[in-house]
Amino acid sequence: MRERAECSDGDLLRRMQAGDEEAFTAIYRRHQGGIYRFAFHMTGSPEIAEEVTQEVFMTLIRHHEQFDPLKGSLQAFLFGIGRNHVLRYFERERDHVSLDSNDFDGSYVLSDNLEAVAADPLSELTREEAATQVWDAVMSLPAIYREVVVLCELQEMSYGEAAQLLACAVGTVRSRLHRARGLLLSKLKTLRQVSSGLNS
Amino acid sequence: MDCRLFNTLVDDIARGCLADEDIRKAATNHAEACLLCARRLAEAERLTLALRQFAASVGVLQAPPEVEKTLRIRFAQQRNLAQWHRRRQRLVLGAVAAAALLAALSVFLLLKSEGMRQNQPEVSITRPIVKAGKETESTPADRSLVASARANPRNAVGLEEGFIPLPYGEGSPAPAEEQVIRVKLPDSVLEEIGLPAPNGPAARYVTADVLLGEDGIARAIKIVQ
Repeated sequence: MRERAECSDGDLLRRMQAGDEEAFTAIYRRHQGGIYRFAFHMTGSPEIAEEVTQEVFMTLIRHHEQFDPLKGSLQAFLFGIGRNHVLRYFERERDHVSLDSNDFDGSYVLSDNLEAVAADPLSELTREEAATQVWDAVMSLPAIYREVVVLCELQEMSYGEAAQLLACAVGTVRSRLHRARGLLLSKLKTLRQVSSGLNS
Repeated sequence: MDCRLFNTLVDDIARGCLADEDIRKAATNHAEACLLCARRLAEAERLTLALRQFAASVGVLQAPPEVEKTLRIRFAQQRNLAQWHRRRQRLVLGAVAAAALLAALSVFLLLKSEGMRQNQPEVSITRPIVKAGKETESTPADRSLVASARANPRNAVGLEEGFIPLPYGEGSPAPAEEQVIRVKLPDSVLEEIGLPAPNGPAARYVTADVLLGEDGIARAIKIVQ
């Protein structure tokens, strides 16, 4: 298996196409974590994440010939399938909460955010509370902002890596992340105010 | 650096992914001089920290082992299905090839037999004259023909009866028994025996009576049609 782990995705895929089950398993073990985490962070549901992961690799089993190495990496191919499944899930579950993107004007600058800066919404939170509130805030983001937060912040990918997986420009990822972080701060501030109100 | 430019860079600074050292220093200097931007940076850094703590609290997530087990089973099923499809495809291709070969062979044999049939005269015995020394079903004209033929084939098959003596039958001894058979001959045969072949596509075959000796050698021929 160690030998398999050192093989490139292309080699493993060729072996898999020839019917090598171990090669398929190596591909699965190499990529399942990222896909599962992405699906989990996007949906908040381990069941959906499991389903998405399974569907991604079932697609690879059935339609591996659709992968074109000239168009991108195997990871991007698998991730693209996973992302489509997640977006389809969102379409089915249209009742998910989403922040109105107009809550944030795209800029942290100056007067409008003075109050938010002064309030420092994270400073008084315990770690557990912070984790819960961050989770709630992330889950409330619209999908296009949530996915860049998941990739760049939670999975700590670079802009370039995220852009490759999302099939968009690096600048797009960067601007979406900037906006998403602004929305998160706004949401966290709101959550903090609600929490303070409940405590008092 | 002004506040607006700083704002575009604050996330990169907070996330520690601002590669350009000069820009980073300029941003840091600006944050030291501008209280508002310093707070903005602190807020962005806390957000980054909170997100990373959250990610750490979730831990390294993996799909459950059952998923791998299920997928391996599905992979094996799919592989077997693909192998079955390949086998079936080979069988179908083999069957098609065999059928094509058989059809080609049939056509070839058919054409060949057709060609042979066209080149061979069609023979039918129409009027047996003499059988084993006993005359049966013979007309008086036939009987006189046979008697004449016994004496001299050339004379026997004279123009009167329409029989034309064949060249290779001339030297043969007069047979004791003869038989007249009706045949269909390609017109090319007429040329071989020195007779003019009729013209036109409708005359590719001619019907003729052939006088055979008991030795089987044709003595004379009469064109019927």
